[in-house]
Amino acid sequence: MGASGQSAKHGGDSVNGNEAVEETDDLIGAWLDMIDRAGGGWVTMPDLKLLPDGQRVQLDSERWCALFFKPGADPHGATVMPAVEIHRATPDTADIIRYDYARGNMRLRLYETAVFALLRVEKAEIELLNLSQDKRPEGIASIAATLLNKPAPPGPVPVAAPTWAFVFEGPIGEGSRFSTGASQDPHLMPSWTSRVDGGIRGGHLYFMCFKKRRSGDGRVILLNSHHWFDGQAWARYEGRPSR
Amino acid sequence: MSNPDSPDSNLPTSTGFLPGLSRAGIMKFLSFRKRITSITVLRVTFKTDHNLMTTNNSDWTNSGSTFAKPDWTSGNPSNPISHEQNKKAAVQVDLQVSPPNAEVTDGDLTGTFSAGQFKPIFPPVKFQGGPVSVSVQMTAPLPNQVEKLTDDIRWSVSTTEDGPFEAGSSLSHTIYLTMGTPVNAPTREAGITLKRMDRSVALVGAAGSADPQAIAKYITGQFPGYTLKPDPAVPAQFHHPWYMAMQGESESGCGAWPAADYFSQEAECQAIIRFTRAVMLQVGCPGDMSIVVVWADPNNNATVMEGDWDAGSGGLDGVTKVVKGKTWSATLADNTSPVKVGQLFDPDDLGLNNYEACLKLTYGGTTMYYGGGAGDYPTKEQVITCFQALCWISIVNLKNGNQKVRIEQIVKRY
Repeated sequence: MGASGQSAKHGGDSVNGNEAVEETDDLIGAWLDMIDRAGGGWVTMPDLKLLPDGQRVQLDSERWCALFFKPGADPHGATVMPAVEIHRATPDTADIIRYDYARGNMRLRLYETAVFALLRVEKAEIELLNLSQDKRPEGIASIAATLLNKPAPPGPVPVAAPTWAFVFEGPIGEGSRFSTGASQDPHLMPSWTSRVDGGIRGGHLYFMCFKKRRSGDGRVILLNSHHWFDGQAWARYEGRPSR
Repeated sequence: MSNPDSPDSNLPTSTGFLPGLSRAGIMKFLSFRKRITSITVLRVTFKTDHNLMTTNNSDWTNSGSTFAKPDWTSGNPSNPISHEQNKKAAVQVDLQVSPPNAEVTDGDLTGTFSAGQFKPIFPPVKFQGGPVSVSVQMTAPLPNQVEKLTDDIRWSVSTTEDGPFEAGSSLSHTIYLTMGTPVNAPTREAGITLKRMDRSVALVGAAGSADPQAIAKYITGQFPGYTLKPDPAVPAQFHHPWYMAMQGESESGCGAWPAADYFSQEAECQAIIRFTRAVMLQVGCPGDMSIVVVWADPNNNATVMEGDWDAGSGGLDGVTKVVKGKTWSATLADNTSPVKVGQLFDPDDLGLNNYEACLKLTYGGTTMYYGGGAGDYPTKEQVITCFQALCWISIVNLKNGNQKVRIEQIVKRY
């Protein structure tokens, strides 16, 4: 499931209704393909609060971006307001927010859903694919250290301090994928810090963080990413009356 | 030498105003006593209060410093105190007797307020010019209930030689009556502050019972229910609905205390019961309280287990196994319709739980598990019945980026 080094499929071919609900063993690939399928269906949204469940979407985005990204790479703390667009869910795509912003001389694009955040480097001072193979792991680690928060041990359930190193299998190039914890299931792992992924797709380096939601009540929270904007993703988790 | 007791022709005699008075008597009459002309209360210090409460009345953090004694000084506002209910409060009263050279006389001091009267512990009191300090105690215990008393104490003095005096009032005392000595809640809710005490006394007082079980039920019942859905109406710093940092964020420093301002927004079960425990401990409520997690072990005949939530017990968190290359995860399913093996659910349609968090309260030989907006139960074996089944499930990933849950095996139905 989402093994590192697996080649990714290019292109934005739509998945028909039956295929959309087909199972896949490649969760990460499915998400990457879904981003591509969003294609040109983006709408400018200067204020997320205008969405039906906008205040909660805004709060969710701010919270997770602050956890995942260094202050300079967090779109909510960007020096210049990011350009914000949304893609509304279709049968084969989720609700997605897209932020375009800059960090110094680096241009960044963030795709965010209810279940993951994919940060893509649109333009960097160092073009990774111009580096020699032996320099590329170091280059990736250096860019990651610039953009991503180092995972802190989460509370309240004590878990072992996460490692913070990508494992690279094979040459690093277009289509490469790598992970800090490829064996961890993003839905079931203890914390978001248990696994961070990355890769190169369409010539761009990207990093992928997973919104592994924890509950102090021991609930497993799996949000339906097709209903993030309208709030229905939370319907199962809304207030229950006292018994 | 004339006999001082015999009449003296040089002194006023029966023709004047001292008929038949001896010389000694007349001499005594003519050497006037230095009388007390006024008595004023200057300071009041409670001696039997808890003296644990800090000054913070502005936010829910554990901050501020304990109130410095004395508790009232003339011209200043009173310090609030907390005191055990149904006990006699004792106070030290500092008074100024004028003039400075007033001669001593026996007397009595009375302090009167709505909850009763103070009288000297060691009567009679010696009053003479200058500062006088008197230890007094209530003549009857404070009310036997959790409540907030606010009143002035009127101090009055009666003296043998110089008559009565109104010594003034010590103003605007606030006394929080508690069940016992306030206790620091564990971890995030630790701290006895004025703001926390004020709210806790109001809540426990409103419960209208001295039974800890009834109090726990009342406080958890302030929340209409529980929720796992973050509410933007609660300031983000408080981390609603968890009321704690869950992923490495910064703690608010308030724990679950801010939930007192957001009952209608509900909270996670564990936050509700942390709040309940903190409130009860703030007023020194008796009983053995702990937060436990209850789950069933799929690898041991579904034996019902109990763990310490504060110690990080996670129930079924991380309980997985690999079956034919697929990861199965153990879970306690809650669902209105029975689950079946092979069934596929949208994440919206099935609740998956690692445990049920409860406040476990033992008092007077009775133990109850309060599920924080999810019912109350006498045993952990009954707690588990809030779920439908103990199952093994797997996550099914779909090409459209979503996922489903498959029931792989049912270990036990409840």
